[in-house]
Amino acid sequence: MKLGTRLRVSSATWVIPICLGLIYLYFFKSFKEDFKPPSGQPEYAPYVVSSVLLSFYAVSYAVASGLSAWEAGRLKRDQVWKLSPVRFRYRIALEALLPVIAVAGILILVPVCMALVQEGTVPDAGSVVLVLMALVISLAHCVIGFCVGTITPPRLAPPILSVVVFYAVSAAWSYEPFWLRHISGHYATDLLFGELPTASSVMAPVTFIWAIAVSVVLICTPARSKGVRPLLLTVAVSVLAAGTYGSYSTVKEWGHTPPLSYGNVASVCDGKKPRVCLPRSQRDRIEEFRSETNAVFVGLAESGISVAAPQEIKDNSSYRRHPRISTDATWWLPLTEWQSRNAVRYNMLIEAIDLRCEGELDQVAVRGSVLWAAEAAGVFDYAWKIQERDLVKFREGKKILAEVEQRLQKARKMPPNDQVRWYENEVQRSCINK
Amino acid sequence: MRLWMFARRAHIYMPGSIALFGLLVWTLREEYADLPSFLMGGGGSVPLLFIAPIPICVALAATLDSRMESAESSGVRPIVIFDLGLIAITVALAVLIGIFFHSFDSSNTALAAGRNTAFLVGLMLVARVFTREAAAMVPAAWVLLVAVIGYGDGHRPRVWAVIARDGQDLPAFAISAIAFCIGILFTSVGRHGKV
Repeated sequence: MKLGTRLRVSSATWVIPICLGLIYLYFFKSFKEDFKPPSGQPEYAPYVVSSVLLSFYAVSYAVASGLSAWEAGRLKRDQVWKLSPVRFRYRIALEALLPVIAVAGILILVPVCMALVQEGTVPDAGSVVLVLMALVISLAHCVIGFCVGTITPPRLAPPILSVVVFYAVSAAWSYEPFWLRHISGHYATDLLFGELPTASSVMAPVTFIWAIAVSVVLICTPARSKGVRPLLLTVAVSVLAAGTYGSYSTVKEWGHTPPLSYGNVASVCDGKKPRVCLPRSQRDRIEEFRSETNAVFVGLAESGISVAAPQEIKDNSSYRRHPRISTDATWWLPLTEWQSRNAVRYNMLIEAIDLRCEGELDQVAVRGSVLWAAEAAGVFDYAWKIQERDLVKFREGKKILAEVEQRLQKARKMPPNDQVRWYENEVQRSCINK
Repeated sequence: MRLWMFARRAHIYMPGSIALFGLLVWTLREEYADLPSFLMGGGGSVPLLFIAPIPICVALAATLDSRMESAESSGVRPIVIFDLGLIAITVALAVLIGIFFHSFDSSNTALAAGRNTAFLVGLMLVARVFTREAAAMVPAAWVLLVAVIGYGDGHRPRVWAVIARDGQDLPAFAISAIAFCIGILFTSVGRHGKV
């Protein structure tokens, strides 16, 4: 068939304006106005891609299966299968399906590309994973739709199939058990900074849907000799059972979020005592970082407080959902996040003086010690603002703040050595029933 | 009439689709899915019962298309009346099923499902005037589009979305009734005019 004729008779041509309209609405009425990465998160292509795809998985699969069933019905109605064989059956099917596959692909690729361009984010290898998964799964839906359309009465399958696929895929993540969502093909989360899908979480839905696709193809394959039919059926059933049970047993233990791998961001380290590591995209800011960090440790040391500086300070922002635990030598801290809030020095100070407390906090003592240490590190104004903001939450906030100020002023008049002793005493006092 | 019924395959499609409709209303009337919206602020839970009228629309489309063209256009039986009667009875049954479940546990989605059947069948009948083959796709497309763009700010269903509105919403009821009447009108005129 000529290209023009093929396009004219294909259902894909009629559906593409609707799909482009949907993409337009999504992009201009939702994405452009609404899309915002979590605060303090650096540019990260997989985040953009995964959050855009959340809206498009189900639509793409529904369009793929519905239109494929339609094409199958058309071939059957036109009695293409009864013509004398000049081509392989698979080639006829493929030629009818190509425009449909293209539409399903457009529904995935176009919004993703538009979003990446709008955000000015350069895609990396990690951001391709979910796109590929969506494409492979929608191809499977094409295959299933085509086979179902071939064996059911024409016109019955396409509308029912598209609606059922749409709701099954998109509703799966509203329901428990959780394995439903993990095999639905609707990747059940967006990827925050440093996160990538694990191989098993991508392969499970792909295996599931392709097991169904392969078995349906085998069932629909016409058998030439008598003995082949039972053989085909046996193979089909075993593929179906193995694939679906395999993917089910992979995902059945998972929680609401598929397993992710964290910290997939190249980092750059610089300096000594402490060595500071930041994501590569933030490399220019290491110096700024080190000076802020040094200001804290040097300031505290000069005032006579000894704190143990770590060997290494690493950025924890790429482990947002599963923060790494700090050790004495290596501190894992959300550096990128602090930097975006311009609060590196204050937060580093809080980490350095380490006022963690198992019991109840004495608000006056703890805030007094923080403010005194902040003065030593040179961030008194910022620290004061933070205390003011925090204390709004307390019923007697103003009273506490006034008392803190009074005690601080008394301490300031003491000689330096006494001040250190006063500070250490306040720290002791801050944690009740230690 | 027996011949007409067998030619239409109404004896297979109609009981089957009505039974499926009833089953869907019964099982899905309290089920919702959290869908991402394509419009800002439109995301939220959407009743799964949207899909209930689809089998009826598809079955009706398939029934009306299953004909013996030459015999019917030259015959003397009041075929059009039969067809209209079939459509009306089917939709009436769907609405009754909706009302039945509503009276049972005052579920608004069941009531809405009956109304939506009338609306979507009306849409399908109007679409049949323009395209015989694709008519059954129109209700399905409507259901999909309403799910993704039928809700506005604060997850309020838009007036044009009809099927997403509450079961006792007056404008949606009126639009559904009008759509169904127009569909009936087109069907009765279309046969004689040979569209």
